[in-house]
Amino acid sequence: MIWFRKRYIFYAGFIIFLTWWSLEQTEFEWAKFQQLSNAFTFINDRILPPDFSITSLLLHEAFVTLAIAFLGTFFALLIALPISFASASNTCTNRLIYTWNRVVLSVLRSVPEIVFGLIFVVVVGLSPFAAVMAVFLHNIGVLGKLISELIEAADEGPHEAMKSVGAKRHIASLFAIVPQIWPNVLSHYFYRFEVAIRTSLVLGFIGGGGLGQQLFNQFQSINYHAMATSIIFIMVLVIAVDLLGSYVRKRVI
Amino acid sequence: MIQLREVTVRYPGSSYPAIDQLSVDIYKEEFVCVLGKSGAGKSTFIRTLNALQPVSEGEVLVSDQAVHSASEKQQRSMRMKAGMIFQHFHLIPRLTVLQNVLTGRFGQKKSYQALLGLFSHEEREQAYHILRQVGLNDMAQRRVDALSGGQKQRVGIARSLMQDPEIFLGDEPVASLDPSTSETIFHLLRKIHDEKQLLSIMNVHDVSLARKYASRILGLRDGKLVFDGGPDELDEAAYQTIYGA
Ligand SMILES: Nc1ncnc2c1ncn2[C@@H]1O[C@H](COP(=O)(O)OP(=O)(O)OP(=O)(O)O)[C@@H](O)[C@H]1O
Ligand SMILES: [Mg+2]
Repeated sequence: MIWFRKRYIFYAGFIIFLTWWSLEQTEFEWAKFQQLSNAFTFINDRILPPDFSITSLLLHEAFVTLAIAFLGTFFALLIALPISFASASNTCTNRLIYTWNRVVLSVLRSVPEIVFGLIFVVVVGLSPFAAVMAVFLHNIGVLGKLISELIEAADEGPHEAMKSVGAKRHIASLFAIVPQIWPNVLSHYFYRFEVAIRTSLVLGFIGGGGLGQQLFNQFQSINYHAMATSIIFIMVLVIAVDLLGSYVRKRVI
Repeated sequence: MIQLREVTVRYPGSSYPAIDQLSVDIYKEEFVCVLGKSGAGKSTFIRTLNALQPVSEGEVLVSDQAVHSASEKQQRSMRMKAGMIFQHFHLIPRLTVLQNVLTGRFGQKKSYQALLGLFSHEEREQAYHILRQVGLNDMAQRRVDALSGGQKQRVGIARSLMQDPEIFLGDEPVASLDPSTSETIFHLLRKIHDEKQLLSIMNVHDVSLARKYASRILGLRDGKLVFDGGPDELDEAAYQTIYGA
């Protein structure tokens, strides 16, 4: 029993309590699992087979979804990169600017895309543009935090070497740090790109266009066979971005 | 010429000074090796010379110019004249040997030139010439991540030579290399030092290397200078004052 300490009993008790409390809060009932078999019947009888007659329409919508996710995250990356340097403790020596940037990033991150989406749908109207803005703003917060943490974890050695050749401060930071963090930046970027595809589906539900909007319309008009086709398109899109991401990462490392 | 006037360095939160009232003059063409136990203050000492480490008291003069009270711009131009090599090489990963060597010119470059990698034909020629000098003739296009330790240190040396330095600083430049590679690197350092008539200061923990290559040896202990003399003066008693219990 050498691995165990008395306070583990307390931790275990706490986790059990938390689980019980959550079960209560979510009206969790084991009996309902019996109804799960109905899901298979539903999928089998009502959703399948997919209705492929709408393929050409969905293809167009898939490209809209892809474009929303790409533009939103790519613009976010362009903005987040410089902001990250101003929000990492080793490259931003001004505490005030550093703290301010950190707060701004946290605020952007804490507002979910769907909330930005609702705002922009009202402000700029129902369109994929609203979805792009929502993905863009939220991801500045996410990528800004992730990249500034990469910067803080970068090896100080090359930075020191660049200072000692007399390089200007920002050139020293850039050359010492960017090559070190680049593969991880791409990794994070592609992950966020993939997440943005899924997010833009939800944004489609509120009028952000793309596959999400199709899916929602099909669901509302009880057109389940068309829904099946949309779902296939979504899966293909997510897998394709994931594959592209791992290919690029392999090339870069 | 480098002059230290009662230099004291205290790290924040540390109760004792890492460098304690140290005064010493070091002249052009001297090849100085600094000895001392781990924690004696060797790294701190070498890093104060180009203002990578601020001082708490006293001052460091390089060619009669105070280093630590200088403006950032002046400090940069002093650093340009002092090449520095490191135990862990501190090369820029993912870049090639040639690209790393050219970063030695960053001090002289305008920001946009550095960013876009705009180097003149002469600078490239000089980089190739230096690579021949350090024995990396056909490695120019190799990525530095793929080199051996000894080769990496040669790139480090080439990068500092690209600065056209008057001063050559090394913080344990051979401490992560095997004995025979250490020997060749020190041989190379001494050869460059003699050819270019530099002022060189190298931290080492291998006493035999210091005995063989140094023209002058400094011994540090608890941040104080406890030995200063030629390699032939480093006898058993001196060894004990530096390293003894
Ligand atoms: N960043 C730091 N913060 C606080 N104390 C430090 C710091 N760097 C060094 N010190 C302390 O200052 C003293 C001198 O350290 P320094 O690194 O200069 O020694 P050194 O002679 O280079 O040792 P080594 O041979 O292990 O490299 C040591 O007591 C060390 O613990
Ligand atoms: Mg040291």
